[in-house]
Amino acid sequence: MSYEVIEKLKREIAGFKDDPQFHAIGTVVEVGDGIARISGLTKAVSQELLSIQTKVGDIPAIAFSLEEEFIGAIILAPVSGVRVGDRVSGSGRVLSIPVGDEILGRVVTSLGAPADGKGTIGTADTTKQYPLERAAPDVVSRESVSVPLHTGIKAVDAMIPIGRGQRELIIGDRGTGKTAVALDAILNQLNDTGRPQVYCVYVAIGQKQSKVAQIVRKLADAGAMAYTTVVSAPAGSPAPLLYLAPFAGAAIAEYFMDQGKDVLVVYDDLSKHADAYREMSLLLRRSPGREAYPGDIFYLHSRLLERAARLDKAHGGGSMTALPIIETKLGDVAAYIPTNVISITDGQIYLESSLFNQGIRPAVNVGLSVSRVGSSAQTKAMKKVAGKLRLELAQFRELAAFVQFASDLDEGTRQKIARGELLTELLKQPDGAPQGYFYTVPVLYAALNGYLSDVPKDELLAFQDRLVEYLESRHRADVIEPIEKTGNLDEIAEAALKAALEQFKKL
Amino acid sequence: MRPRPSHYARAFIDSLHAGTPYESAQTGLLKALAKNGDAHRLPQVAHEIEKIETAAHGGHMVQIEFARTPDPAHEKRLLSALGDTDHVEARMNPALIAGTRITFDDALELDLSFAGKMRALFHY
Repeated sequence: MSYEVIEKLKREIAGFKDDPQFHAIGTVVEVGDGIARISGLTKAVSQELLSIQTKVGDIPAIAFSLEEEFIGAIILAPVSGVRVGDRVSGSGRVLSIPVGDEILGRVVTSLGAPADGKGTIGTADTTKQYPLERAAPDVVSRESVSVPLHTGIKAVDAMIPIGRGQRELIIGDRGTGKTAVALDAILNQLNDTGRPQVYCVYVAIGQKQSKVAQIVRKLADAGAMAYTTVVSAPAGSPAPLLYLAPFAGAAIAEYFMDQGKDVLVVYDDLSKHADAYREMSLLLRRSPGREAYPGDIFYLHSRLLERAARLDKAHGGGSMTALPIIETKLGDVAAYIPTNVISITDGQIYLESSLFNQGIRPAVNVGLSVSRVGSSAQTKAMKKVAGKLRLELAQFRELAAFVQFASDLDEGTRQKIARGELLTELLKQPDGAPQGYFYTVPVLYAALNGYLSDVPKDELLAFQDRLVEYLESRHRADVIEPIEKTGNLDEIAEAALKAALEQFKKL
Repeated sequence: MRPRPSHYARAFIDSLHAGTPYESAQTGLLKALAKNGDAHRLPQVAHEIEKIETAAHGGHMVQIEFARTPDPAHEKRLLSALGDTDHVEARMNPALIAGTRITFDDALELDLSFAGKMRALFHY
């Protein structure tokens, strides 16, 4: 380690040119709450990285508001020793973070510094500097979403499919399992064979350190940290670091996308991000708008989420799928930030408190959830079963109000209600147990074709586990593998599946 | 909006130009600072007044910082390079370690100090 540091210093010293020049400088005239007002530096550009020369050393800051007389800068240090009168110099470059393959498996801060106590990340030779703010790929370099990104959640993969390069919002009240859905999507990338590996970036914004530690442990225990990077800006961080965290996550994801790889980035959550931005904007004395958010709050999230894309072959063919999370208050999806992000994204997974409290987990409201582009990326096998599933559940929702009067209903209605209840039960899934789509397809096929009609509701999940185990052990070659390899449930595989289900019922 | 030191300075100069006697303008400025709770900003206001006056006479605010007491001949040669209308302030700043730093109008610096070279080496 020390050898590398000495070598780096030697190179820098050897290449140093003593060429004194005039530099523009500024002076701190006001400071507080992580914000500094700076006079001078008239040629500073927006988002330029500044250096405040304090008695405790140089502290980085970002030029944020360029006003007539002053620059409003955000200070990027948790505890700052910035004082009025301190000298400020510009750097001529925007804020960037070091990224490289070594960043996988690591927990980093919004500025790319290691936060897991495992030492420095890579070296100057193996890492590249990626700017936190970068223009989203243009229209010409994009391609339609066509490859599925399986989350391992049966309800989502079947009815709200997500494609690689899509932006799918996860929205719901506090404690409805939003993070669990996103984590399952990350964990499932271990199971999703047959397609290029998806690299994951999990951005924790304003969360408790203990929660972040739990998440990292969960991912590490499952072996998912091998392809995941966690960006952590915990609740105790100053607002500027919370604000920068998703942009750091996007920069890391772009590094992999530019190499032609597929990336999944989770922003958990953008409500806290909006709050941090509001705090900064109010301190910078920008005019408050609706709910005291600044006027550019929509642009903040749109420019972040627009960076998610599927690139065409000429640009490497990589993709960045974004799963932003928004926390609602008392189920109010019509609030300012939720409606903004709903309109930016390509669909939403709506999690409902009442479903969660009824024991339906994941508490996905399939009626209000939608995926606008994912269906074109859905595998043929899943499409085959999902269409019927969506229809049956829609019919069930219409009749759900009559469930309590089931005895007074006609036979046909009773059957539809029973089928709906069975499917609802079947779509239940515990946390951290994502299911490969090649298992979900046979299970849903069995349910939709009446093979599970006589199974008691409370035994359904155990029955499903036994069925999956049976298919894996005895019918891998003729049922599971064809679905896994081709993504299709063709006539031969369907016939084999039917036969397997008949056999299983007899056991 | 709370007045800034530059606002106080501009108002003070303008009132002098409008014919207010110097003593009255000075008292008025101090009262205004006290009323707004800005008495502690008097040095900054004075600095702004100097800036405006110097600029009005075609000069620059020049601050020369030395890491240690300079050789009088060297200091004289340095000062002679500046114009008569410039407002020059020389001071000691041991934080520079060695060398000199010259700042013009609080906006432009020529850093010839050892500390500046170290900063350039490690930060840019």
